[in-house]
Amino acid sequence: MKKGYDMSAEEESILQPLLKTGKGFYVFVGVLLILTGWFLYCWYTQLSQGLIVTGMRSVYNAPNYMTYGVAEGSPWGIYVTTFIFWIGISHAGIAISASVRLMNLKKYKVVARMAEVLTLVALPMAALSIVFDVGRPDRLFNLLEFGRFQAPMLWDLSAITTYFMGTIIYLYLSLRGDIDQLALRIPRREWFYKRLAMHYEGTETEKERHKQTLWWLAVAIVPIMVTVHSVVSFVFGLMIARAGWYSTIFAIYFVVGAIVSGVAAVYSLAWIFRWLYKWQSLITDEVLKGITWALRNVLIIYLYLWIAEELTMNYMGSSAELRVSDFLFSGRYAPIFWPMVIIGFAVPAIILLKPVFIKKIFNPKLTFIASIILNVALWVARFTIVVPSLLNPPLYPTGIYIPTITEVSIITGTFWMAVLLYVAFVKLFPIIELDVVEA
Amino acid sequence: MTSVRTLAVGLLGLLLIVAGVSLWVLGDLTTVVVSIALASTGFLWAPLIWFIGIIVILSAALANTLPFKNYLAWLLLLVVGYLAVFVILVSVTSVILP
Repeated sequence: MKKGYDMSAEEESILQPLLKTGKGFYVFVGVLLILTGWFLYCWYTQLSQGLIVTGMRSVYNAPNYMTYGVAEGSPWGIYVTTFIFWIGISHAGIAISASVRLMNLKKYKVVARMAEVLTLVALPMAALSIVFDVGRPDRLFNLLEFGRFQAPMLWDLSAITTYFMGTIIYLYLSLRGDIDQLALRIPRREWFYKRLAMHYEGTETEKERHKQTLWWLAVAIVPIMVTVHSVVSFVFGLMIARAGWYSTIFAIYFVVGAIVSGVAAVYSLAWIFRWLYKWQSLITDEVLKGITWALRNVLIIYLYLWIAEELTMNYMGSSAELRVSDFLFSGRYAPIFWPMVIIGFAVPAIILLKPVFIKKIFNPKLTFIASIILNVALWVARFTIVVPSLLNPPLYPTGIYIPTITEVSIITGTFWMAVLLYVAFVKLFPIIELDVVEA
Repeated sequence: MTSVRTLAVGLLGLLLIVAGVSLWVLGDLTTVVVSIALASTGFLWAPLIWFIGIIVILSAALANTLPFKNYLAWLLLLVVGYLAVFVILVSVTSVILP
Protein backbone atom coordinates (compact mmCIF):
# COMPACT_ATOMS: atom_id res chain seq x y z
CA MET A 1 0.00 0.00 0.00
CA LYS A 2 1.25 3.50 -0.80
CA LYS A 3 2.51 5.48 2.15
CA GLY A 4 -0.20 7.72 3.51
CA TYR A 5 -2.95 6.04 1.56
CA ASP A 6 -5.51 4.33 3.73
CA MET A 7 -7.81 1.74 2.30
CA SER A 8 -11.11 0.89 3.88
CA ALA A 9 -11.64 -2.68 5.07
CA GLU A 10 -13.99 -3.34 2.14
CA GLU A 11 -11.49 -2.02 -0.40
CA GLU A 12 -8.77 -4.13 1.13
CA SER A 13 -11.08 -7.11 0.97
CA ILE A 14 -11.85 -6.51 -2.73
CA LEU A 15 -8.15 -6.14 -3.49
CA GLN A 16 -7.18 -9.34 -1.64
CA PRO A 17 -6.57 -11.32 -4.85
CA LEU A 18 -4.13 -8.62 -6.05
CA LEU A 19 -2.33 -8.11 -2.77
CA LYS A 20 -1.93 -11.64 -1.44
CA THR A 21 -0.66 -14.71 -3.22
CA GLY A 22 -0.40 -17.98 -1.36
CA LYS A 23 1.38 -21.22 -2.21
CA GLY A 24 -1.90 -22.77 -3.28
CA PHE A 25 -2.15 -20.24 -6.07
CA TYR A 26 1.20 -21.26 -7.57
CA VAL A 27 0.31 -24.96 -7.34
CA PHE A 28 -3.04 -24.25 -9.01
CA VAL A 29 -1.45 -22.24 -11.83
CA GLY A 30 1.32 -24.87 -12.20
CA VAL A 31 -1.25 -27.63 -12.66
CA LEU A 32 -3.15 -25.50 -15.19
CA LEU A 33 0.07 -24.84 -17.12
CA ILE A 34 0.90 -28.56 -17.25
CA LEU A 35 -2.61 -29.34 -18.50
CA THR A 36 -2.33 -26.54 -21.08
CA GLY A 37 1.01 -28.00 -22.19
CA TRP A 38 -0.67 -31.40 -22.71
CA PHE A 39 -3.40 -29.66 -24.73
CA LEU A 40 -0.77 -27.98 -26.94
CA TYR A 41 0.94 -31.33 -27.53
CA CYS A 42 -2.39 -32.92 -28.54
CA TRP A 43 -3.20 -30.05 -30.89
CA TYR A 44 0.26 -30.37 -32.41
CA THR A 45 -0.43 -34.10 -32.92
CA GLN A 46 -3.71 -33.33 -34.64
CA LEU A 47 -2.13 -30.70 -36.88
CA SER A 48 0.85 -32.85 -37.85
CA GLN A 49 -1.11 -36.09 -38.39
CA GLY A 50 -4.44 -34.67 -39.51
CA LEU A 51 -8.02 -35.17 -38.32
CA ILE A 52 -7.54 -38.91 -38.67
CA VAL A 53 -6.46 -38.83 -34.99
CA THR A 54 -9.99 -37.79 -34.04
CA GLY A 55 -13.03 -40.01 -33.75
CA MET A 56 -14.90 -37.86 -36.25
CA ARG A 57 -14.36 -40.32 -39.06
CA SER A 58 -16.19 -43.59 -38.79
CA VAL A 59 -14.83 -46.94 -39.90
CA TYR A 60 -18.18 -48.67 -40.00
CA ASN A 61 -19.74 -49.93 -43.22
CA ALA A 62 -18.21 -47.51 -45.64
CA PRO A 63 -15.66 -47.57 -48.40
CA ASN A 64 -12.41 -45.71 -47.74
CA TYR A 65 -13.34 -42.51 -49.56
CA MET A 66 -16.31 -42.12 -47.24
CA THR A 67 -14.50 -42.65 -43.97
CA TYR A 68 -14.37 -38.98 -43.12
CA GLY A 69 -16.96 -36.30 -43.65
CA VAL A 70 -20.66 -35.99 -44.05
CA ALA A 71 -21.30 -39.43 -45.46
CA GLU A 72 -19.87 -41.15 -42.43
CA GLY A 73 -19.05 -40.20 -38.90
CA SER A 74 -19.62 -36.82 -37.32
CA PRO A 75 -17.34 -34.17 -38.85
CA TRP A 76 -18.21 -31.60 -36.19
CA GLY A 77 -18.13 -33.78 -33.08
CA ILE A 78 -17.20 -32.29 -29.73
CA TYR A 79 -15.40 -29.34 -31.32
CA VAL A 80 -18.59 -27.70 -32.56
CA THR A 81 -20.41 -28.90 -29.41
CA THR A 82 -17.85 -26.99 -27.33
CA PHE A 83 -18.05 -24.00 -29.67
CA ILE A 84 -21.79 -23.68 -28.91
CA PHE A 85 -21.09 -24.23 -25.21
CA TRP A 86 -18.51 -21.41 -25.01
CA ILE A 87 -20.73 -19.05 -26.98
CA GLY A 88 -23.46 -19.83 -24.45
CA ILE A 89 -21.17 -19.14 -21.50
CA SER A 90 -20.10 -15.85 -23.07
CA HIS A 91 -23.71 -14.89 -23.51
CA ALA A 92 -24.85 -13.97 -20.07
CA GLY A 93 -21.60 -12.38 -19.07
CA ILE A 94 -21.93 -9.04 -20.69
CA ALA A 95 -25.74 -9.40 -20.70
CA ILE A 96 -25.83 -9.39 -16.91
CA SER A 97 -23.47 -6.44 -16.79
CA ALA A 98 -25.43 -4.51 -19.43
CA SER A 99 -28.71 -5.26 -17.62
CA VAL A 100 -27.23 -4.00 -14.35
CA ARG A 101 -26.34 -0.74 -16.08
CA LEU A 102 -29.47 -0.31 -18.16
CA MET A 103 -31.94 -1.22 -15.42
CA ASN A 104 -29.88 0.36 -12.65
CA LEU A 105 -29.75 -2.91 -10.68
CA LYS A 106 -27.14 -1.65 -8.21
CA LYS A 107 -27.47 -4.72 -6.00
CA TYR A 108 -25.95 -6.91 -8.72
CA LYS A 109 -23.03 -4.61 -9.50
CA VAL A 110 -20.82 -6.92 -7.40
CA VAL A 111 -21.11 -9.67 -10.02
CA ALA A 112 -21.06 -7.42 -13.10
CA ARG A 113 -17.31 -7.56 -13.69
CA MET A 114 -17.11 -11.30 -13.01
CA ALA A 115 -19.66 -11.66 -15.79
CA GLU A 116 -17.84 -9.30 -18.18
CA VAL A 117 -14.54 -11.16 -17.81
CA LEU A 118 -16.36 -14.44 -18.36
CA THR A 119 -17.45 -13.18 -21.77
CA LEU A 120 -13.94 -11.99 -22.56
CA VAL A 121 -12.33 -15.39 -21.89
CA ALA A 122 -15.17 -17.50 -23.31
CA LEU A 123 -15.33 -15.92 -26.77
CA PRO A 124 -11.71 -16.72 -27.82
CA MET A 125 -12.25 -20.30 -26.61
CA ALA A 126 -15.36 -20.53 -28.80
CA ALA A 127 -13.42 -19.28 -31.82
CA LEU A 128 -10.56 -21.69 -31.08
CA SER A 129 -12.97 -24.63 -30.96
CA ILE A 130 -13.82 -23.92 -34.60
CA VAL A 131 -10.13 -23.62 -35.50
CA PHE A 132 -9.60 -27.13 -34.04
CA ASP A 133 -12.35 -28.50 -36.25
CA VAL A 134 -11.09 -27.20 -39.58
CA GLY A 135 -8.59 -29.42 -41.33
CA ARG A 136 -6.50 -26.57 -42.71
CA PRO A 137 -6.29 -23.66 -40.26
CA ASP A 138 -3.40 -22.33 -42.36
CA ARG A 139 -6.09 -21.16 -44.78
CA LEU A 140 -7.92 -18.97 -42.27
CA PHE A 141 -7.12 -15.86 -44.29
CA ASN A 142 -9.54 -17.20 -46.90
CA LEU A 143 -12.32 -16.09 -44.53
CA LEU A 144 -11.25 -12.48 -44.77
CA GLU A 145 -10.28 -12.69 -48.43
CA PHE A 146 -12.99 -14.77 -50.07
CA GLY A 147 -15.65 -15.10 -47.36
CA ARG A 148 -19.18 -15.45 -48.72
CA PHE A 149 -22.00 -13.44 -47.20
CA GLN A 150 -24.47 -16.29 -47.73
CA ALA A 151 -22.57 -18.58 -45.39
CA PRO A 152 -23.89 -18.67 -41.80
CA MET A 153 -20.32 -19.37 -40.65
CA LEU A 154 -19.35 -15.90 -41.91
CA TRP A 155 -22.30 -14.42 -40.03
CA ASP A 156 -20.88 -16.19 -36.99
CA LEU A 157 -17.47 -14.64 -37.50
CA SER A 158 -19.06 -11.19 -37.93
CA ALA A 159 -21.20 -11.55 -34.81
CA ILE A 160 -18.37 -12.93 -32.67
CA THR A 161 -15.99 -10.20 -33.86
CA THR A 162 -18.55 -7.53 -32.98
CA TYR A 163 -19.34 -9.06 -29.60
CA PHE A 164 -15.69 -9.58 -28.68
CA MET A 165 -14.60 -6.07 -29.66
CA GLY A 166 -17.64 -4.58 -27.91
CA THR A 167 -16.78 -6.56 -24.78
CA ILE A 168 -13.13 -5.45 -24.73
CA ILE A 169 -14.13 -1.78 -25.08
CA TYR A 170 -16.95 -2.10 -22.54
CA LEU A 171 -14.71 -3.82 -20.01
CA TYR A 172 -11.89 -1.30 -20.45
CA LEU A 173 -14.16 1.69 -20.01
CA SER A 174 -15.84 0.22 -16.93
CA LEU A 175 -12.40 -0.65 -15.54
CA ARG A 176 -10.57 2.60 -16.32
CA GLY A 177 -11.51 4.41 -13.12
CA ASP A 178 -10.48 1.40 -11.03
CA ILE A 179 -7.15 1.12 -12.87
CA ASP A 180 -6.42 4.73 -11.96
CA GLN A 181 -7.23 3.96 -8.32
CA LEU A 182 -4.99 0.88 -8.40
CA ALA A 183 -2.00 3.07 -9.31
CA LEU A 184 -2.49 4.74 -5.92
CA ARG A 185 -3.19 1.62 -3.95
CA ILE A 186 -0.51 -0.72 -5.36
CA PRO A 187 2.62 1.43 -5.90
CA ARG A 188 4.79 -1.45 -7.09
CA ARG A 189 2.61 -1.68 -10.17
CA GLU A 190 2.06 2.08 -10.51
CA TRP A 191 3.91 2.30 -13.85
CA PHE A 192 1.68 -0.34 -15.40
CA TYR A 193 -1.62 1.02 -14.08
CA LYS A 194 -0.81 4.67 -14.84
CA ARG A 195 -0.17 3.87 -18.48
CA LEU A 196 -3.21 1.68 -18.76
CA ALA A 197 -5.48 4.33 -17.20
CA MET A 198 -4.45 6.65 -20.09
CA HIS A 199 -4.57 10.03 -18.35
CA TYR A 200 -7.75 9.33 -16.43
CA GLU A 201 -8.34 12.21 -14.04
CA GLY A 202 -11.49 11.09 -12.27
CA THR A 203 -13.25 14.45 -12.54
CA GLU A 204 -17.03 14.53 -12.29
CA THR A 205 -17.29 15.43 -16.00
CA GLU A 206 -15.09 12.48 -16.95
CA LYS A 207 -17.04 10.08 -14.73
CA GLU A 208 -20.32 11.30 -16.24
CA ARG A 209 -18.94 10.89 -19.76
CA HIS A 210 -17.87 7.31 -18.97
CA LYS A 211 -21.27 6.57 -17.45
CA GLN A 212 -23.10 7.86 -20.53
CA THR A 213 -20.79 6.05 -22.97
CA LEU A 214 -21.14 2.78 -21.07
CA TRP A 215 -24.91 3.17 -21.06
CA TRP A 216 -24.99 3.56 -24.84
CA LEU A 217 -22.53 0.72 -25.28
CA ALA A 218 -24.77 -1.47 -23.09
CA VAL A 219 -27.73 -0.52 -25.32
CA ALA A 220 -25.73 -1.67 -28.35
CA ILE A 221 -24.38 -4.82 -26.74
CA VAL A 222 -27.70 -6.41 -25.72
CA PRO A 223 -28.94 -6.88 -29.32
CA ILE A 224 -25.44 -7.93 -30.42
CA MET A 225 -25.52 -10.61 -27.73
CA VAL A 226 -28.89 -11.93 -28.97
CA THR A 227 -27.54 -11.87 -32.53
CA VAL A 228 -24.47 -13.93 -31.65
CA HIS A 229 -26.34 -16.94 -30.40
CA SER A 230 -29.12 -16.61 -32.98
CA VAL A 231 -26.48 -16.72 -35.69
CA VAL A 232 -24.92 -19.81 -34.11
CA SER A 233 -28.33 -21.48 -34.31
CA PHE A 234 -28.63 -20.54 -38.00
CA VAL A 235 -25.63 -22.77 -38.75
CA PHE A 236 -28.03 -25.61 -37.85
CA GLY A 237 -31.52 -24.18 -38.22
CA LEU A 238 -31.12 -23.24 -41.88
CA MET A 239 -29.92 -26.67 -42.91
CA ILE A 240 -32.73 -28.74 -44.35
CA ALA A 241 -30.43 -31.63 -45.30
CA ARG A 242 -29.95 -32.72 -41.69
CA ALA A 243 -32.73 -34.27 -39.66
CA GLY A 244 -33.53 -32.48 -36.43
CA TRP A 245 -32.00 -29.13 -37.32
CA TYR A 246 -34.34 -27.39 -39.73
CA SER A 247 -36.50 -25.48 -37.28
CA THR A 248 -37.79 -21.94 -36.80
CA ILE A 249 -37.60 -22.32 -33.03
CA PHE A 250 -33.83 -22.88 -33.03
CA ALA A 251 -32.77 -19.25 -32.67
CA ILE A 252 -34.80 -18.57 -29.54
CA TYR A 253 -34.04 -22.06 -28.22
CA PHE A 254 -30.30 -21.39 -28.55
CA VAL A 255 -30.53 -17.88 -27.07
CA VAL A 256 -32.47 -19.10 -24.01
CA GLY A 257 -30.11 -22.08 -23.62
CA ALA A 258 -27.18 -19.68 -23.72
CA ILE A 259 -28.74 -17.47 -21.06
CA VAL A 260 -29.25 -20.52 -18.80
CA SER A 261 -25.64 -21.50 -19.38
CA GLY A 262 -24.25 -18.02 -18.78
CA VAL A 263 -26.36 -17.22 -15.70
CA ALA A 264 -25.42 -20.60 -14.19
CA ALA A 265 -21.74 -19.86 -14.85
CA VAL A 266 -22.01 -16.42 -13.23
CA TYR A 267 -23.66 -17.97 -10.18
CA SER A 268 -20.88 -20.58 -9.96
CA LEU A 269 -18.21 -17.86 -10.16
CA ALA A 270 -19.96 -15.63 -7.61
CA TRP A 271 -20.21 -18.53 -5.18
CA ILE A 272 -16.56 -19.56 -5.69
CA PHE A 273 -15.27 -16.01 -5.09
CA ARG A 274 -17.53 -15.57 -2.08
CA TRP A 275 -16.26 -18.83 -0.59
CA LEU A 276 -12.61 -18.25 -1.51
CA TYR A 277 -12.29 -14.66 -0.25
CA LYS A 278 -15.02 -14.69 2.43
CA TRP A 279 -17.02 -12.07 0.55
CA GLN A 280 -20.32 -12.87 2.28
CA SER A 281 -20.83 -9.18 3.07
CA LEU A 282 -20.25 -8.19 -0.57
CA ILE A 283 -21.89 -11.06 -2.45
CA THR A 284 -24.81 -11.43 -0.08
CA ASP A 285 -27.43 -14.18 0.01
CA GLU A 286 -29.82 -11.65 -1.53
CA VAL A 287 -27.56 -11.28 -4.58
CA LEU A 288 -27.27 -15.06 -4.98
CA LYS A 289 -31.04 -15.43 -4.53
CA GLY A 290 -31.58 -12.87 -7.28
CA ILE A 291 -29.32 -14.76 -9.71
CA THR A 292 -31.08 -18.00 -8.74
CA TRP A 293 -34.44 -16.38 -9.47
CA ALA A 294 -33.24 -15.46 -12.98
CA LEU A 295 -31.71 -18.91 -13.51
CA ARG A 296 -34.89 -20.67 -12.44
CA ASN A 297 -37.06 -18.65 -14.79
CA VAL A 298 -34.86 -19.03 -17.86
CA LEU A 299 -34.46 -22.74 -17.14
CA ILE A 300 -38.25 -23.18 -17.15
CA ILE A 301 -38.49 -21.35 -20.50
CA TYR A 302 -35.62 -23.47 -21.89
CA LEU A 303 -37.24 -26.74 -20.83
CA TYR A 304 -40.56 -25.62 -22.31
CA LEU A 305 -38.90 -24.84 -25.67
CA TRP A 306 -37.01 -28.12 -25.59
CA ILE A 307 -40.18 -30.16 -24.98
CA ALA A 308 -41.99 -28.23 -27.76
CA GLU A 309 -39.11 -28.98 -30.15
CA GLU A 310 -38.99 -32.69 -29.27
CA LEU A 311 -42.78 -33.05 -29.55
CA THR A 312 -42.89 -31.37 -32.98
CA MET A 313 -40.03 -33.49 -34.25
CA ASN A 314 -41.51 -36.77 -33.03
CA TYR A 315 -45.25 -36.40 -33.59
CA MET A 316 -45.19 -36.39 -37.39
CA GLY A 317 -41.51 -36.21 -38.14
CA SER A 318 -39.81 -37.65 -41.20
CA SER A 319 -38.18 -41.06 -40.92
CA ALA A 320 -34.74 -39.47 -40.55
CA GLU A 321 -35.98 -37.25 -37.71
CA LEU A 322 -37.51 -40.23 -35.97
CA ARG A 323 -34.19 -42.05 -36.36
CA VAL A 324 -32.43 -39.14 -34.64
CA SER A 325 -34.94 -39.34 -31.79
CA ASP A 326 -34.52 -43.11 -31.54
CA PHE A 327 -30.76 -42.58 -31.32
CA LEU A 328 -31.37 -40.46 -28.23
CA PHE A 329 -34.38 -42.06 -26.56
CA SER A 330 -33.50 -45.72 -26.91
CA GLY A 331 -30.45 -45.99 -29.17
CA ARG A 332 -26.72 -45.49 -28.96
CA TYR A 333 -26.83 -42.15 -27.16
CA ALA A 334 -29.58 -43.08 -24.67
CA PRO A 335 -26.92 -43.67 -21.96
CA ILE A 336 -25.99 -40.00 -22.11
CA PHE A 337 -29.43 -38.61 -23.02
CA TRP A 338 -31.40 -39.91 -20.03
CA PRO A 339 -28.81 -38.95 -17.41
CA MET A 340 -28.81 -35.49 -19.02
CA VAL A 341 -32.60 -35.27 -18.66
CA ILE A 342 -32.83 -36.68 -15.13
CA ILE A 343 -29.61 -35.63 -13.41
CA GLY A 344 -28.78 -32.70 -15.64
CA PHE A 345 -32.11 -30.91 -15.87
CA ALA A 346 -34.69 -32.46 -13.51
CA VAL A 347 -32.50 -32.44 -10.39
CA PRO A 348 -31.28 -28.80 -10.80
CA ALA A 349 -34.86 -27.75 -11.63
CA ILE A 350 -36.07 -29.28 -8.36
CA ILE A 351 -33.23 -27.61 -6.41
CA LEU A 352 -33.99 -24.23 -8.00
CA LEU A 353 -37.75 -24.52 -7.61
CA LYS A 354 -37.65 -25.70 -3.99
CA PRO A 355 -37.40 -22.21 -2.43
CA VAL A 356 -40.53 -21.18 -4.36
CA PHE A 357 -42.65 -23.73 -2.54
CA ILE A 358 -40.87 -23.99 0.78
CA LYS A 359 -39.79 -20.60 2.09
CA LYS A 360 -36.48 -19.88 3.81
CA ILE A 361 -34.68 -22.92 2.50
CA PHE A 362 -32.46 -21.23 -0.05
CA ASN A 363 -29.18 -23.09 0.08
CA PRO A 364 -26.34 -21.26 -1.75
CA LYS A 365 -24.07 -24.33 -1.81
CA LEU A 366 -26.74 -26.64 -3.19
CA THR A 367 -27.62 -24.04 -5.82
CA PHE A 368 -23.92 -23.85 -6.72
CA ILE A 369 -23.92 -27.62 -7.31
CA ALA A 370 -27.07 -27.22 -9.41
CA SER A 371 -25.42 -24.47 -11.49
CA ILE A 372 -22.42 -26.70 -12.22
CA ILE A 373 -24.63 -29.68 -13.11
CA LEU A 374 -26.68 -27.45 -15.39
CA ASN A 375 -23.64 -26.38 -17.37
CA VAL A 376 -22.46 -29.98 -17.77
CA ALA A 377 -25.99 -30.93 -18.89
CA LEU A 378 -26.07 -28.04 -21.35
CA TRP A 379 -22.79 -29.21 -22.90
CA VAL A 380 -24.33 -32.67 -23.31
CA ALA A 381 -27.51 -31.06 -24.70
CA ARG A 382 -25.42 -29.35 -27.40
CA PHE A 383 -23.76 -32.72 -28.12
CA THR A 384 -27.19 -34.28 -28.62
CA ILE A 385 -28.03 -31.53 -31.10
CA VAL A 386 -24.82 -31.78 -33.13
CA VAL A 387 -23.87 -35.45 -33.27
CA PRO A 388 -27.01 -37.60 -33.73
CA SER A 389 -28.17 -35.47 -36.68
CA LEU A 390 -24.78 -35.79 -38.38
CA LEU A 391 -24.87 -39.55 -37.87
CA ASN A 392 -28.30 -39.76 -39.47
CA PRO A 393 -28.27 -38.35 -42.98
CA PRO A 394 -31.66 -38.54 -44.76
CA LEU A 395 -30.98 -41.77 -46.64
CA TYR A 396 -29.44 -44.11 -44.11
CA PRO A 397 -27.94 -44.14 -40.62
CA THR A 398 -24.17 -44.33 -40.31
CA GLY A 399 -21.67 -45.31 -37.65
CA ILE A 400 -21.21 -44.09 -34.13
CA TYR A 401 -19.10 -41.20 -32.95
CA ILE A 402 -16.81 -41.69 -29.96
CA PRO A 403 -14.29 -38.88 -29.39
CA THR A 404 -10.64 -39.87 -29.02
CA ILE A 405 -8.34 -38.89 -26.14
CA THR A 406 -6.69 -36.35 -28.46
CA GLU A 407 -10.01 -34.61 -29.10
CA VAL A 408 -11.02 -34.67 -25.44
CA SER A 409 -7.61 -33.29 -24.42
CA ILE A 410 -7.88 -30.47 -26.97
CA ILE A 411 -11.36 -29.55 -25.83
CA THR A 412 -10.54 -29.69 -22.13
CA GLY A 413 -7.54 -27.52 -23.01
CA THR A 414 -9.93 -24.65 -23.76
CA PHE A 415 -11.22 -24.95 -20.19
CA TRP A 416 -7.73 -24.83 -18.68
CA MET A 417 -6.80 -21.84 -20.82
CA ALA A 418 -10.02 -20.05 -19.90
CA VAL A 419 -9.32 -20.57 -16.19
CA LEU A 420 -5.72 -19.39 -16.67
CA LEU A 421 -6.86 -16.21 -18.42
CA TYR A 422 -9.48 -15.60 -15.76
CA VAL A 423 -6.95 -16.09 -12.97
CA ALA A 424 -4.50 -13.72 -14.72
CA PHE A 425 -7.21 -11.06 -14.83
CA VAL A 426 -8.09 -11.57 -11.17
CA LYS A 427 -4.43 -11.10 -10.18
CA LEU A 428 -4.14 -7.85 -12.16
CA PHE A 429 -7.50 -6.13 -11.74
CA PRO A 430 -10.26 -6.07 -9.10
CA ILE A 431 -12.96 -8.58 -9.94
CA ILE A 432 -15.48 -6.45 -8.05
CA GLU A 433 -15.84 -2.80 -9.05
CA LEU A 434 -14.25 -0.54 -6.45
CA ASP A 435 -17.15 1.90 -6.45
CA VAL A 436 -19.34 -0.88 -5.04
CA VAL A 437 -17.79 0.14 -1.71
CA GLU A 438 -18.92 3.75 -2.19
CA ALA A 439 -22.40 2.56 -3.11
CA MET B 1 -14.78 18.67 -29.89
CA THR B 2 -15.06 15.18 -28.36
CA SER B 3 -18.59 14.80 -29.68
CA VAL B 4 -17.47 15.77 -33.19
CA ARG B 5 -14.64 13.25 -32.99
CA THR B 6 -17.01 10.52 -31.79
CA LEU B 7 -19.42 11.31 -34.59
CA ALA B 8 -16.60 11.28 -37.17
CA VAL B 9 -15.35 7.89 -35.94
CA GLY B 10 -18.90 6.50 -35.92
CA LEU B 11 -19.49 7.70 -39.48
CA LEU B 12 -16.17 6.31 -40.69
CA GLY B 13 -17.06 2.93 -39.16
CA LEU B 14 -20.50 3.04 -40.78
CA LEU B 15 -18.94 3.92 -44.13
CA LEU B 16 -16.53 0.98 -43.92
CA ILE B 17 -19.34 -1.40 -42.96
CA VAL B 18 -21.56 -0.23 -45.82
CA ALA B 19 -18.63 -0.36 -48.26
CA GLY B 20 -17.60 -3.82 -47.06
CA VAL B 21 -21.11 -5.26 -47.22
CA SER B 22 -21.82 -3.63 -50.60
CA LEU B 23 -18.65 -5.00 -52.14
CA TRP B 24 -19.32 -8.34 -50.53
CA VAL B 25 -22.84 -8.53 -51.97
CA LEU B 26 -22.03 -7.00 -55.37
CA GLY B 27 -19.00 -9.20 -55.76
CA ASP B 28 -21.02 -12.32 -55.19
CA LEU B 29 -24.46 -12.11 -56.70
CA THR B 30 -24.98 -15.83 -56.92
CA THR B 31 -27.45 -17.34 -54.51
CA VAL B 32 -25.81 -20.75 -54.69
CA VAL B 33 -24.16 -21.37 -51.36
CA VAL B 34 -22.21 -24.50 -52.18
CA SER B 35 -20.36 -26.12 -55.07
CA ILE B 36 -18.57 -23.01 -56.38
CA ALA B 37 -14.87 -22.67 -55.75
CA LEU B 38 -14.33 -20.01 -53.09
CA ALA B 39 -11.58 -18.29 -55.02
CA SER B 40 -13.84 -17.54 -57.97
CA THR B 41 -16.47 -15.65 -55.99
CA GLY B 42 -16.76 -12.46 -54.02
CA PHE B 43 -14.85 -9.21 -53.98
CA LEU B 44 -11.43 -9.86 -52.50
CA TRP B 45 -11.01 -8.68 -48.89
CA ALA B 46 -14.56 -7.26 -48.72
CA PRO B 47 -15.19 -9.21 -45.46
CA LEU B 48 -12.06 -7.62 -43.98
CA ILE B 49 -13.33 -4.11 -44.81
CA TRP B 50 -16.59 -4.97 -43.05
CA PHE B 51 -14.80 -6.38 -40.00
CA ILE B 52 -12.58 -3.31 -39.70
CA GLY B 53 -15.72 -1.18 -40.02
CA ILE B 54 -17.22 -3.03 -37.04
CA ILE B 55 -14.11 -2.36 -34.96
CA VAL B 56 -14.02 1.33 -35.94
CA ILE B 57 -17.71 1.94 -35.22
CA LEU B 58 -17.41 0.30 -31.79
CA SER B 59 -14.29 2.32 -31.06
CA ALA B 60 -16.46 5.47 -31.14
CA ALA B 61 -17.03 4.69 -27.44
CA LEU B 62 -13.28 5.03 -26.87
CA ALA B 63 -13.11 8.19 -28.97
CA ASN B 64 -15.77 9.65 -26.72
CA THR B 65 -13.78 9.04 -23.55
CA LEU B 66 -10.04 8.95 -24.27
CA PRO B 67 -7.51 11.62 -25.31
CA PHE B 68 -6.98 11.49 -29.09
CA LYS B 69 -3.50 9.92 -29.02
CA ASN B 70 -4.64 7.23 -26.60
CA TYR B 71 -7.68 6.60 -28.76
CA LEU B 72 -5.48 6.07 -31.80
CA ALA B 73 -3.28 3.68 -29.83
CA TRP B 74 -6.35 1.67 -28.81
CA LEU B 75 -7.74 1.61 -32.34
CA LEU B 76 -4.40 0.42 -33.68
CA LEU B 77 -4.21 -2.23 -30.96
CA LEU B 78 -7.70 -3.54 -31.77
CA VAL B 79 -7.18 -3.69 -35.53
CA VAL B 80 -3.61 -5.03 -35.41
CA GLY B 81 -4.52 -7.43 -32.58
CA TYR B 82 -7.45 -8.79 -34.60
CA LEU B 83 -5.31 -9.37 -37.66
CA ALA B 84 -2.46 -10.72 -35.53
CA VAL B 85 -4.70 -13.57 -34.34
CA PHE B 86 -5.11 -14.68 -37.95
CA VAL B 87 -1.45 -14.14 -38.78
CA ILE B 88 -0.24 -16.14 -35.76
CA LEU B 89 -2.67 -19.01 -36.32
CA VAL B 90 -1.90 -19.21 -40.02
CA SER B 91 1.89 -18.96 -39.50
CA VAL B 92 2.09 -21.50 -36.70
CA THR B 93 -0.18 -24.03 -38.35
CA SER B 94 1.57 -23.60 -41.73
CA VAL B 95 4.81 -24.65 -40.08
CA ILE B 96 3.29 -27.69 -38.38
CA LEU B 97 0.98 -28.93 -41.13
CA PRO B 98 2.65 -31.45 -43.41
